[in-house]
This record gives sequence, structure tokens and C-alpha cells, in this order.
Amino acid sequence: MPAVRSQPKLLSTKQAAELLNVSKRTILNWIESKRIPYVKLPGGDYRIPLAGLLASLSGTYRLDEEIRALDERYAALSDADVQRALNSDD
Amino acid sequence: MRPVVLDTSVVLPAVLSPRGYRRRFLVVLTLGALAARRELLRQETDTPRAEAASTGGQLGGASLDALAEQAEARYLRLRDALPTGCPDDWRLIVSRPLLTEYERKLREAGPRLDPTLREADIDTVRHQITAVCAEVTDDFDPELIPAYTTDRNDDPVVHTALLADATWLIADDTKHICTQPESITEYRLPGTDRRVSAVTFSRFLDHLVDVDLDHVDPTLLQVAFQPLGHS
Repeated sequence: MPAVRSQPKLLSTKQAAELLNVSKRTILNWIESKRIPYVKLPGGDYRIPLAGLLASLSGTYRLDEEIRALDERYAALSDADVQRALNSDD
Repeated sequence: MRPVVLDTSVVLPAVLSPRGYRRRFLVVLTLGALAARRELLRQETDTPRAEAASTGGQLGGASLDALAEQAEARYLRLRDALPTGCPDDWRLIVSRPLLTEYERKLREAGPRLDPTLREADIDTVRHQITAVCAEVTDDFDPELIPAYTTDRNDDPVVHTALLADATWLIADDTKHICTQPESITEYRLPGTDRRVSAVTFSRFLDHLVDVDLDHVDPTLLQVAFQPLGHS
């Protein structure tokens, strides 16, 4: 079984949606608004380059603002606090 | 290049605890992801063109050349904000089933940290991890992978690390994954010679000799994803 890193990949819209946990409709919206790179196949399907998709995330979400908001909410949390919550059912 | 795979016990503290050492390592992994992305984007400018040419399809959407330039600019911005010599060859590798497991665990444990945790917060965490990952392994069905551990929920992280040929699987789960927390727990992909070493985060720090995490500003994770030109 080969290692997969450093291999350029083309994803279907379904694979892209599953990877990002968004709907296929969201991926199609990003395609229609040209937010992500794609290849349109003659049958109408799309192929999306993986690294291009990941790089485009900064244009599809304001990740910095999402991270800042989460960090402000959890400013007092330590690694140990999170691990205690994770382990309390084990 | 040093691929790593993170268990939920490491990645969730990294995203939820804004000042911890796991977050600081996530910043180092972000530098690696940006380095990987600029390389892959350069390669990918040819791949979609070849696909379009061979199928009679058409290229469209965001320009890969422009994305490659942005990745380069983001990489340089973060590199310049990090301590001189900070390594850029650590690569966070994920798989779709592993991302699903991160989410499952966050849904299960998150309300114990914050009863107001919303589905949108879980989406944010997924976006954050996906943005920091350098590569995604081939997909697999978690039901069909070998039983590496005594907890079926922990098998996808081990399988992902083996598929990724990871240098390290970092896990603070000493019950099911790092069962020899003072040393290394080794896993092997059945029928192959491929192995991966699982270590706790504190053991891993013994191997992270080329950067002092005390000197890594954990808030740089926000900076890494600010729009270009933002100061």
C-alpha cells in the first residue's frame, strides 16, 4: 500500500464534500462562485485538486476570525482541562 | 519531510486550549502545511491541465497559480513570525474517517467542557484541523480495517498513521494507543513491513529537538489564516 503524501489528487465533488463535512451543494456553490479551482469534465462532473481546495479554505471561511472567536471563548482552558473532559468516559 | 498523525487526545487540546504546548506544536504543523501546500500547488497546476486535456474537460474557478502565490506569501509571513530556524518539514496527515472520529469525540466530550458548544463550533474545529493538515490519505472504511487497539474507535487513527507512513503517531491515550507511555508503542500494517511508532506528546517532545516550543507564539495560528495584507 503506497504512502499518499506529495501526490497531487483530484477529488470528486462528493469526496470534497465528505472531506470538509459540507454538502455537495456547498461544493457546487463554491464552484459556481469560482472560489475553488476545478476541472469540468465533458459529462458535467467536476474534479477538484486537493491542495487547491485546502488552500481555498481561507477564501471560503474567515478562519482567522473563527479561530479567534473560539480562542477567546476558551482562553482559560488548559490542555489538562480538555484531556480530563476527553477521558472522563474512558 | 516528517509526517505525523495526531490522536483526538492531542489534537482537541491543540485546538481548544489556546496557549498550551499542543497548540504551539499545531503552529509548527501549520508552517509545514503551508510549505507542503505551496509545493503541491506548483505540481497541481499541471495535474488539472492534464486531466482537462485528456478528458476534453475545462479548467475553471480559482487560479492555481494565484493560490500557489498566496500559499507562498502565507508561508513566508508565518515563517518570519516564528523563531529563526523553526522547522517546516513536519506534516500533519489526516484521513476522512479520522476527521469523523475527531468530530465524534468532540461531540461526546465537548459539552463537558462547554454546555453551550454548538454544531457551528464543531464545524470550526473541523475547518481548523483541515486547514492545518498537509495531506489526506486515501479513504477507507473504518469497519473494514484491522483491530489494532482494544477500542474500535481508536483504530482509524492507527490505520491513518500506517497509511501515511507517519514518523510518529502522537497520542495521550495511554489506555488504548500508547500502552507503553514511557517508551514507544509500535503498530504494523498487516501483511506489510510498514510500521508506525506511537508516543505520548511529552515523549514526542524529546524528539522535537529543532524548535523550542516556549518560543512559539500560540496566537500565530490566527495570524497564519488572516487575509494577506492584514497587519
